[in-house]
Amino acid sequence: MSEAAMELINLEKKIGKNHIIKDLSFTIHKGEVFGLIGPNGAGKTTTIRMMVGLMKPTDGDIHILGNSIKSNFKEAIREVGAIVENPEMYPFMTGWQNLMHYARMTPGITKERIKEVIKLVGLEKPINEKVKKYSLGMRQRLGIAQALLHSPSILILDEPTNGLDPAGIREIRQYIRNLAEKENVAVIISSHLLSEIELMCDKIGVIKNGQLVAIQEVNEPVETEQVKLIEVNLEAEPIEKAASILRNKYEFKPEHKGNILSFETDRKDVPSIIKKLVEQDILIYQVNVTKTKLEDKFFDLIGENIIE
Amino acid sequence: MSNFFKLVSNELIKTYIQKSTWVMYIILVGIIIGLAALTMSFEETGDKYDQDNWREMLQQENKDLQSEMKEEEFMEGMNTSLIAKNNYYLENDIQPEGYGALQFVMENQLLLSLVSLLTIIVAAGIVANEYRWGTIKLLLIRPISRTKILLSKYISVLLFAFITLLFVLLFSWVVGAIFFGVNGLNPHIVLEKSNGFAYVPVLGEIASGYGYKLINLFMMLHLLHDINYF
Ligand SMILES: Nc1ncnc2c1ncn2[C@@H]1O[C@H](COP(=O)(O)OP(=O)(O)OP(=O)(O)O)[C@@H](O)[C@H]1O
Ligand SMILES: [Mg+2]
Repeated sequence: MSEAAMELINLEKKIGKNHIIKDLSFTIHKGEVFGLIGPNGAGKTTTIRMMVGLMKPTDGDIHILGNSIKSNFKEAIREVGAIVENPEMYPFMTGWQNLMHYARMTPGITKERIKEVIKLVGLEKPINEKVKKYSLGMRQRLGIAQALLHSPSILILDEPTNGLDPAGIREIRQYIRNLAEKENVAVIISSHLLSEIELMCDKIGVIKNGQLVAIQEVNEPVETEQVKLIEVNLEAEPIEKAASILRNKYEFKPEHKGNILSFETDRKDVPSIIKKLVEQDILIYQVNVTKTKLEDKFFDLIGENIIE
Repeated sequence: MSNFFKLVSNELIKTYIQKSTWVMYIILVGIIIGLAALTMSFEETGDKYDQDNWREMLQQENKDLQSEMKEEEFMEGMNTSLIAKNNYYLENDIQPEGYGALQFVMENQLLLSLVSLLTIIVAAGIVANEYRWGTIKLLLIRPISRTKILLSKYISVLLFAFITLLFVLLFSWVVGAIFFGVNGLNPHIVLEKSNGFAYVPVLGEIASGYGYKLINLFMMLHLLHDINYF
């Protein structure tokens, strides 16, 4: 296991009577892309605000490369680049002027580095336009550029896919993977849409009502009962006969999707089912299976998010 | 140290890129040119005393002022002091000098109250706007303490006040030179001071007048700073 980049240790946040974050603990390693998923109001932004020192934890601590955000703020934050909530920039300045502004706040950022990040996020063309003319996607890119300027070890992006078109999301996915794999950067991304970040994350933490309800490696096989089931899509003729066999012999509830029957079963049963159908003179044109998606598991985990 | 200098220049750049700051300067330019035009048309600024007969001219002026006073009572206060001033020139045998750029600069000290007002506007926005734009978050997640950021903002407001005051001074001189000409390098003038009339150099008056206003401005900002940030 590689070195820890960020550790959350029994993090708590209370504002007035509201208990917003409850005993949150997890670790993000170098070179890992960590997705923080949760519905609106789950506490993602609040957690991120604490990670970057914009909010003080009520209890617990956050360690960034071993430095406590509470007692060693400067050393800790030096290694962090972030966008918190919306990518807000000075509207009356150009993209370039905005980046120069942030570059002046950290020693050692060269003009070459600035040009490099501009190229990375694909903002070469509009960089000399005023930010107030930017679309949300362009501001998002500028926000990411700002976060990458000082080559941080940890990149924190609150809803980075917000406002991006599919092509933009694909680009971000590519360079986030790149940062993690080639430069060993730890990336933390929050989103309420699992599908948007599932593909770029190594690990996903699901947060609900301020609590971590699940944490899981994206590629590790899922162990719960439900997820062993797979969805089988079958194109068969005559379709009604096939459906009645499935209903009567196996007690499935096949769904008709046009000329395709769709039902759930255990993977190991698939060959015998097909054999049975063929023996009953049913013509099978195609069979495909889809894994029950992480998305569904996510919804099972989340249920309803009730703010207590 | 160079780090702090960069913070201050960041703040100044942000202030001067904004249109609202440019509007302030355009207003100042308008007012200064307007004042010069007004002075030109309502005051006799020519070199009317540069002949040998300047004594007769002053005496004639006093007579006119006196008769005007008899007709219009409300002129009394102003005219008496003008007469007293003319008498001071006569008694001390000082030939009055013509009106020039430096005299115009001196009179424009009045504009420094406007500079104070503009500085208050800038000072009021310099922290509040970061919250309004949402950019405060990006300022505070740098390895720089909050106090240092606030201090850099405070210093940049002081510099704004200083630059604006300098602008009023220099621009007044340029406009004055165009409208009234440059009248000697070190002209003198009779002014009414707390202990009666005195014959003083205009440059000295400018230095003490603008200096005093600047100190006033800084003290006012210091109070604002205390109230706003801590
Ligand atoms: N300053 C505050 N004072 C009181 N309650 C707050 C404050 N900030 C956030 N909350 C509450 O904390 C909870 C978590 O909010 P947070 O913004 O972290 O959610 P989120 O997961 O980022 O949601 P979203 O997906 O909508 O961005 C919400 O119930 C919110 O009402
Ligand atoms: Mg949020």
